[in-house]
This record gives sequence, C-alpha cells and structure tokens, in this order.
Amino acid sequence: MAEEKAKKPMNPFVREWIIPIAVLVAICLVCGLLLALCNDLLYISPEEKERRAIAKIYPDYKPDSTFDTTLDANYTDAKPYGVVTKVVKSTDGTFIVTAKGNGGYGGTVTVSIAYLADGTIYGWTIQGSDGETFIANITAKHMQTWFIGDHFSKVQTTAVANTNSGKGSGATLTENAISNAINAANYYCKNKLYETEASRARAAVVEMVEGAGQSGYSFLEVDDAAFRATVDTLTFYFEGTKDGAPDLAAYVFGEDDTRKIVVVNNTLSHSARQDASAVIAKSEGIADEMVAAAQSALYVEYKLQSTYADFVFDGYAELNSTLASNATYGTVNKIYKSTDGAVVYETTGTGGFSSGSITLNVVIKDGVIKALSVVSNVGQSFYESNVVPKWNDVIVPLFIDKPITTEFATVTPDSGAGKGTGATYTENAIINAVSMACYYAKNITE
Amino acid sequence: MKFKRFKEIALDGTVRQNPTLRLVLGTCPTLALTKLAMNCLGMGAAVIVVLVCSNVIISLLRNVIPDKVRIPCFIVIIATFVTLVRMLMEAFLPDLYDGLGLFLPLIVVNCIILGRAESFASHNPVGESALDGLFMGIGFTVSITLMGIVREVLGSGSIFGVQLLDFKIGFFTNAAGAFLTYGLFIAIFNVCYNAVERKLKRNAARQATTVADEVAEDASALDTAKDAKEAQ
Repeated sequence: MAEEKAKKPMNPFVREWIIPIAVLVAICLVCGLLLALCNDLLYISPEEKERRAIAKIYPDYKPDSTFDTTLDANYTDAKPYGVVTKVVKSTDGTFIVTAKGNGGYGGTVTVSIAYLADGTIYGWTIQGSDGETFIANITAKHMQTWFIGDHFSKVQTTAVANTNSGKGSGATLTENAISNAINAANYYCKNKLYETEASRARAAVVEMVEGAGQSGYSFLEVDDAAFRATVDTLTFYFEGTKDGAPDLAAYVFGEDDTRKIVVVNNTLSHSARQDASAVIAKSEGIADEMVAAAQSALYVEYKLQSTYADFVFDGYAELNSTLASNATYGTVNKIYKSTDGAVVYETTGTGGFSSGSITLNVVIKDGVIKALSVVSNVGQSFYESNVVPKWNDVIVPLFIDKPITTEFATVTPDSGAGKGTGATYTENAIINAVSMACYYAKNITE
Repeated sequence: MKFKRFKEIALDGTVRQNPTLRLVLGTCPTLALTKLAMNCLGMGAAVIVVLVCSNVIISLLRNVIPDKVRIPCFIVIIATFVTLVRMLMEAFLPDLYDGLGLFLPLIVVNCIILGRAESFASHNPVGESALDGLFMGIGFTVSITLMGIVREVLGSGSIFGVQLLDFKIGFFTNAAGAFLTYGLFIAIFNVCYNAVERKLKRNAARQATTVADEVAEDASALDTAKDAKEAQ
C-alpha cells in the first residue's frame, strides 16, 4: 500500500508548468530581495552624485554656504544657446554652472563648467544628453583641452552640421550643443555672476528707472555691436519688460564715471517717440544729442530695415489671440506696423527638422508678401549648410510678390520633392511660417 | 579535485577554448572597449566576478532548476550579479564606472557568461564551475587587455594612460581599426595554437612509437631467453 502511494506519478500539469514557474518566481524573488538589500547599503544620494560630478571638473570645490543658489530667471534662458539649470559657488570664488545647450544631434546636452574667480574656464564635463548618439566621441581628452582657459566673454563658435568646421571629434552636432551650453553659461556669468561694466550699467539703469517711479522692470542687454555702432558713444543697450506695463529701452553712453543713461518708452511709434514725454528718465547733465539719438535710434527699425528698407516703426498691432495660433501653421508672436502701411508679422512655423521650428519676419503690404527674413530657428540642423546658401535664390522667390491668398503647399519630407535646398523639413517650417502670416493677415482684415 | 582536471579546466579557459580568440564570444565589449587598456582590465575584472559568482550559483541550483525555465533562470541570476557589480563599481570606483559606461550592464547579454552557464555550470559540480568561470574570465581579460595595449599604443601613443609616443595612428581608435586588430589577433593566436597542437601531437605519437618499440624489444628478449632455457 505504502509502495503504491510512493510510486504515484506527479500530475503532468504540475510537473510541466507549476514547478518551473514556481522555481523561476522563487529565484526572481530571492534575487530581487538581494538587490534591494544591496541598493540600500550602496545607495548614493543625489548630493553625493553632485559632489562627485563637481569634483571631476574642480577637485578643490568647497561649497560656499553664503551663496544663494536660486537662479535669476531673467538670465537663465540664454536664447538661442540654451538654458542654465544650476549654479553653485566654491569658497575660493569659483562658480560651477550647469547648462543645457541646444542644437545637438537628437536634442540637448547638459554640461557643467567651472569658472575661476577671474572668469576663465577651469574645466567642464558632460552631465547628460538627450538622444546624442555619438556622444561617446567626446572623450576625457577633449574635456581637458577644449574651452580651457577661455573667458566667459568669449562667444564659442559652433560647428556646422555635415561640414568640417567642427573640433575634430566627428560628432559635429554634439559639439554644437556643448558650445551652446557653454555660451548659455557664459551669458549667465556675464549678466549675473561676475561684476562687469555691463552689470554695473544695468544696475545703474534699474536704479534710475526705480527713481523715476517705475519699479519692477527687468532689463536684459541686447548685445548687438552693429546696432551700437549706429549710435555715437553708445556702450550698452538694454530692453526692459514688466507685466502690464509698456516696454522700455535704455541707452547707456560712456562707462563708469562718464556714464550717461536715457530710458524711453519702447512701444511708441517713431514719430510719437520724438516727443519729450517719451523719455522716462535721463542722467543729469546729459547732452541733448544723446537724448535725441536715443529717441531716434529704434532697435526694432534697425533690425527690420535689413528685411524691409522702408520700415519706419508705427507701433505694435494688438494680437488677436484666436487668430494668432493655428494648429497647422504655427503662431504669430508679434506684429509691427510701418508708417507706409506695411505690416511685419513675426511668425513661428512648425513642422521643422527634429520637430523643431523656424521664426520669420514676413512683410505684407497691400495684401502682397514684400519681404521675409529669418529671426531664429530651433533644431534645424541643416539650416546653415543647406538653407542659408540658397535663401535668396531658392526660398525668397517662392513667396515674394505673391498675394496672401496663395496656398503654399508643404513638401513631402525625404521624398526628394523639396524646393531645392535639400533640407525638406526646414523648408516645411518656412512654408508654414509664411502661411501663418498670410492666414492671420487674410482673416484679420475680413 | 585532481590536478589533471584542474589543469584541463585552466587550459580550456585560457587557451583551448579562449572565449575571445577561439570561441569569438563577447565581441561587443572587445571591439568597443579596447581603445584604452585600463578599461579592458576593468571590464575583465567585472566579467570574472560575474562569471565566477553566476557559475557557482547555477551549479548549486543545477538539480533544482527545471529544464523548461533554465535560460530565464540563468539570465535572472546573471543579471543580479551584473547589477551588484554595477552598484559596487558606482559606489567605490566611479571613474571606472564612467569609463565602462553602457558596456557594464551589457555584460548580462555577453555570450561568454550565458554560454558557460549553459554548457558547463549546469552540468558540473560547484568547485569545477567556479574554476571554469575564473579561467574563462582570465582568458577574456588577458585577450582584451593585450588588444587594448596594441590599440592604445598605436592609436593614442600611450599605454594605460601614460603617454609614451608623440605619434598616433587614428585608424586604430575607430571601429575599422578595432575589427582589423581583432582579426589579426584571432589569426595569430590560432596559427600559434595550431602549430603547438601539431607539435604536441607529433611528440605524443613519437613517444607512443618509442614505447611500443621498447615493449616489442622486451618481448623479443624474453622469447630469446625462453628459447635458450628450453634448449638447455
């Protein structure tokens, strides 16, 4: 009887399914518990990870507890380079700035840079990336040579995709993003972390504007040397913004003890700006010529006259929020009016390369497109190499003198059926930006 | 365990069944990491630890794991040890951890480890499995380190990070150079191995002939003595 019991065969279902699954589950559970235990024992806190990352680029780092690590939102977004995400300071005056640079192969690259007390770069390292397939090409050797010793005032030149203008790693777009991250960090250093003539001038502008009863403005420098050269002895030009208040333009002539400042209402038309009431504040004893120059030298005219020579600023048109956004084309960001009846639409067209966009100024007069130019682009890797050389010959003729009722058909990407630049996605974004301007202009007048 | 068995396992792992140069397994880290010799040592050490530990556990559980789920079980065990090695490296050797990058977790799918688990550890006792893991790992480490030294000297002019030469041939730091170096190493190793094997076989055959001749001589002498005695 007992023998019979012992010899009873196992249920096949149990033997074939239950036991194997049970063994597998048991092994998984034991391994999981072991890993959980080890994770607890070997856990590295985010603070320790940050300390190690910083030690890589600046081994002598000792955190300065008196430094306020809260970022100044006015300077974190350094268009078109990138965004600053973190700043810490060492007791010896070295800053470690972490920034995300745009224009990479798949997206952004996050870089931490150590700036010594004199503003020069001591070291840098890559903290992370966003789809950079060739990031392994950037080695420790590159991090020990590229950018080292450069001052934050130096604008790092970026590589152009698919050309030989890179730094030699072979990953030109990743080099692009790294350069942009350093430029974004440089921007923050220049405007916030280090005292420079620009930061002193800005402080003087803010003090003057507050003294005139206009507190709460934040001023950003528009660093355009060519514009400054059009105004005699102009050393800095700032634009001030405040929610619910008109934009201001601050002109700084001279430096330090010889500094003279004029602040004007930047939303007025060219003619309205000539009135004395347009001047919000000015330095004592400032020469009349300087005040007149500030009232006449409109930055918006300087920028748009390169696109449309007859542009004379006649104020901004109010945006119709319903028409300003279109799911197919993009958005209208700003509308500038010209005294001759032309209207300049700053539009952003979607559907570009790598899901990016391109922003244009489109000039429309009497229902016809008169001119267009590029303001900026996001992620258009082939813009410089493919579109810029063919802008005047291929792109502009597609739109100039066409009525705003024209339907501009987008191209089929990767099919060869483009407009001739080879950058079909960027062409699409341009077409969408122009279509957006036409769409708005058509519907706002109806 | 007898010394003969120990020697057999040691020779198999390092020479006869060298995973890199004879079995051509684990080519992904071999090609990617041999730019720098130091990284090769680090990867080799990680592979040795994972191989030994996983072989021991799999050998211990060889009579428990049903055949139906053996591969998933092996992979779970290997992945556990790889994760442990990762955690240890991240905590105590962060520079090496950064240098190995993605190839550290890729040890899980390294054919050497799963291959030895399947072909050796699941059929042999614990001690032999541990030794097999150790010597297979040593064979892998020595192979990739030698390759790393060659590629680093020719490609960067340095050895283990110490700059030796001013010149460098960039070809050896890229993928094409990796394949070429690997191919040459396989060719040279196998030519040498085959030559040594032939020589050993010849010696063994000669020795067998000499023994046979001696035995025949002895037998002949014995017959002669017998005949002489009978004649008396």
